Amino acid sequence: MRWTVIWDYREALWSGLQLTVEITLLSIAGALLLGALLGCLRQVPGYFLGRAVLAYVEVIRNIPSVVKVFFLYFVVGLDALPAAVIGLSLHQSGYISDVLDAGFRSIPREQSEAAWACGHNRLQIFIFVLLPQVWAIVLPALASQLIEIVKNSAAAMLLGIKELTFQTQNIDVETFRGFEAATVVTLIYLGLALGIAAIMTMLERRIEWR
Amino acid sequence: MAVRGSAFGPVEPTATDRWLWRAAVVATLLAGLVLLRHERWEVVMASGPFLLKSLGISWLLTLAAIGIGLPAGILLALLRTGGPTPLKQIAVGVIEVVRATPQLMVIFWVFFAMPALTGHKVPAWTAAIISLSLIAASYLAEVMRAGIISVPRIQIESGLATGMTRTQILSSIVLPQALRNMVPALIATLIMMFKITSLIYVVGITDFFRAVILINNREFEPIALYTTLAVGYFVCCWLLSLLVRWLDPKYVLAH
Amino acid sequence: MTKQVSRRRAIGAAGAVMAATGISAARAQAQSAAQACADTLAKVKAAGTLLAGVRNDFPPIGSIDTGGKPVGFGPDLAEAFAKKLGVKVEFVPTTSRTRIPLLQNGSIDCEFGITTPTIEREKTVDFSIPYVWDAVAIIIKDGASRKVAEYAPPKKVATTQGSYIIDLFKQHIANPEIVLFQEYPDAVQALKNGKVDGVGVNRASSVAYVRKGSGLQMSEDMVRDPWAIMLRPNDSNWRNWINLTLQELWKDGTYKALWEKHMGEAPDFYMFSPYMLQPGIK
Repeated sequence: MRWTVIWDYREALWSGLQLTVEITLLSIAGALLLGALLGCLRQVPGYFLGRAVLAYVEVIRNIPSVVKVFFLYFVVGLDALPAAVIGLSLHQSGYISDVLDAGFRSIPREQSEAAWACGHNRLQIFIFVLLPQVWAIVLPALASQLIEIVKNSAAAMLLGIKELTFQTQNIDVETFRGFEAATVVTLIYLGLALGIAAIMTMLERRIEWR
Repeated sequence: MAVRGSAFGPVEPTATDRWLWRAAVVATLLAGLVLLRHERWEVVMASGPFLLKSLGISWLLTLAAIGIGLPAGILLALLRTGGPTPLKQIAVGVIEVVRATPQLMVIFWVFFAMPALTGHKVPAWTAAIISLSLIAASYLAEVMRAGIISVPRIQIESGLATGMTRTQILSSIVLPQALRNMVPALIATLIMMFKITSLIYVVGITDFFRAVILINNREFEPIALYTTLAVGYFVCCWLLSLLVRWLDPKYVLAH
Repeated sequence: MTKQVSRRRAIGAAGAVMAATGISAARAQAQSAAQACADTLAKVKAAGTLLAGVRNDFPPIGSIDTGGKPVGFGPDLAEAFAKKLGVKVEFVPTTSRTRIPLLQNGSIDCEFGITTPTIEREKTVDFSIPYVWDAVAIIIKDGASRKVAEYAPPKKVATTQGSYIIDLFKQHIANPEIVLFQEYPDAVQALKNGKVDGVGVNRASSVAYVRKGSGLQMSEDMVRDPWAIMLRPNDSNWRNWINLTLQELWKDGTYKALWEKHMGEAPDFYMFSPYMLQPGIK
């Protein structure tokens, strides 16, 4: 095994890492926005809206992320990076809305009832009582969802985006040192996951005002 | 129909609500059919047998992965909950590393590692099954760990008190209950693995995903074919998720 | 109690079946490795079957029909070879990544694909004489310029990851912007959607994409490109027989008939050399 080959490819791996981080950050933003929107919509008392969001989440959840990304690129005709980011955001938004929904449900209903008794309406209860608390509750589950986004970013390589997994394959194709490349890149992905977990833990500690 | 809950309390749908919703679903499906009627669906029909066969290959890979991954996962879970410290750390390491790595990367790693470690080039099927089993084993290890922990400790203590060996306790008391408690989670992992088999595309095996792409290569009907691809996956996974929800209405699928 | 016991047995049986499926599927591949031996000709005659590697992603050299059966020039030629030997033919799908491993572990006896006999590959496998002379060009949209050099940035060209066409692009285009896909169908679909301006591909396989009415055409040739039948190393008997049969099929017209059937025109090359077959071919 020749590990020095990896050092020769450090620039390629660095640019791959940059692309992976770019895709991940954009997808995290999209997934959080969309997932939060859906999670909040599910709390609206109307029957239709709730069922519609549930149906959307079911459809999104039961189709593999690769299929969604391919659909967006080859059928809808988006460019590679938008297709990957939108596909990943759509995919993860379903799960994030689930997480938020569980978070909302775990807030004791006495609080909403007490606020209701004090004369606040539903919207005020939502914004001032439920929303601030739910973020603290869901942070751990949210961390694992964000790590899922990092993992799913590898699917972007199938569209020709030269991110980390693509670079691994490239190293193998050019030098037959795929094992060394794959091991190193796996460690890089681990680093990314640990980084996200660390950031989330830091956020958790800052929000500890309960 | 389960009563939906929200933060504001249970939502009771009336009969009109339910019928309106069903009408909306039917209307959406009809709209989809109308919009797509100009696509060349005869291509999909003609390739039907081939598509079904490749769908079967996807399922075969899934079942093989679970078949090997479940015993491996149980072993890892046991090592993690009660093994000697060095083995426990290795088990934790394997589980956490595989769960934090992109599945595509795991497939590549196994595909590269096997020839590097054994000195021989490895056929695609072997690499595919090993990598899928590895992924399945790490997720199932976490599922089984939850299952093992969910068995009340008092049962283990009673077993020890009556003179059973640890192996007997494991096989007759802990594992059967753990497996039974975790059936919804196990099926959920099955659904997850089925979706992951779509990544086997890179290794060259003709699973459902690759089959659709091959047919598109010849016929150039992306809309009809990729829609069939999405619908195919949706139907398989959704039916299974209904099974999970029937078994355990409160289960939340996290992957 | 009996219900639990029988249910436990059922679960145990199901689990054993699933595990056995997994292990046997993996082992079936490993077992064929044990059969790889140095005298393929004798082995094929004894087994009564020729294991022919064919592509299923490269029409018209090799693809699959709607029933999933391999069709194309490669499979047809393999059948002609098997008929000469008096054995059945069994097709094994190969890809650029799996063709050498499958040959080395005995899953195939020969590969009728699109493998260029490069010096690099000679280190691990052996080749017959070139059995197809092809060319590499770029698939472009109808009406676009046919000159290869004009596909410099901002135009994008595509091919598959790991293909030697990447090097050809770099030789014929100044600072090319190359987009790499995993498979050719993805690259051609990207061309049709306007994401890339050209797909570098072998002329033989472009026949399927550049049909009348597809809106695509071929640029000028970048380079001529031989393909050879890939064989296990150090097996002179087998290689000699393959070379001999190839030229016999050329001489009796089978090769040309198959070529015209799949390519739509006569081959513009000769077998063994541009002037004559190997001396001694009857």
